[in-house]
Amino acid sequence: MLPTFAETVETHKAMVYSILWHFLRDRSLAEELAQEVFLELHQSWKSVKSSRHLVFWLRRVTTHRAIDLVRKRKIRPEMSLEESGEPTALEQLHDSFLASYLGRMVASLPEKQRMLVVLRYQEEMELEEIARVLGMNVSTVKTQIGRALELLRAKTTHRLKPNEG
Amino acid sequence: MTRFEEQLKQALARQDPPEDFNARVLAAVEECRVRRSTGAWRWRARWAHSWQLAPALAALLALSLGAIYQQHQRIARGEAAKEKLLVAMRVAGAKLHEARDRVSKVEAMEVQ
Repeated sequence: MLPTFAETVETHKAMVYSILWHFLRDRSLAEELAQEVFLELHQSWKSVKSSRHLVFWLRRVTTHRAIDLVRKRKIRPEMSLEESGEPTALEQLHDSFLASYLGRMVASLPEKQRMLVVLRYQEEMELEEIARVLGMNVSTVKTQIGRALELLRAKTTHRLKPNEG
Repeated sequence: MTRFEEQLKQALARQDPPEDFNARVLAAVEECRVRRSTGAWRWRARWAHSWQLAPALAALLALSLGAIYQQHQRIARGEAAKEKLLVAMRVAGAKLHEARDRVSKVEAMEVQ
């Protein structure tokens, strides 16, 4: 049995908001778009068949709206991979700072790779599920995630390497 | 999963939106519902008003048709009068011609 609309908002707001926040790296924009996604869900409520379909619907609409917004407004990541600042010694010590640094690095990835990484590591989705949500081939998803990880790992290793000498 | 991927997972952990998010979504849904129902009511009201205009439009159409009919009748009457005048002129011409013939014949007889 399907939950009510209000229960759905309560249950899935963190998922929708976090996908948008990690992808857009702009809290007010993420909140605004998350609201729009739920409004759209309310309008399509009758077409939702099951709880599983509901989650699929939310992930699909959220990811597509986010990518559309970035393309339409030509939003650029806050910084490029090259520009992302050196973490301080403190950042090297604390996980929360490392998480923040990695979040910024993810935000600087190209849009498709960024969304793939968010779905894979935030939502812990299987490659097949990601492919279905984004309408891509499983092999492309796998390759793109591999490339994104390689890029992130290389940059992070370089940045976080203890200063020599 | 590698250590790096674990770190990435931590970095991309889910976060809650601001506390008033639910309330704002539900308010937006309600506003949208009210706007839609108001829109439908306005559309119906607009149609109702247009039906109130129907008698006036019908009267205007009847007046226009009347004026066109009268104009048509006036032209027809003019055409008929013109036709009658032509016939009368033709008859008068024939009578005149006949009278002139008679006068000519009488004059010729008097000369003989």
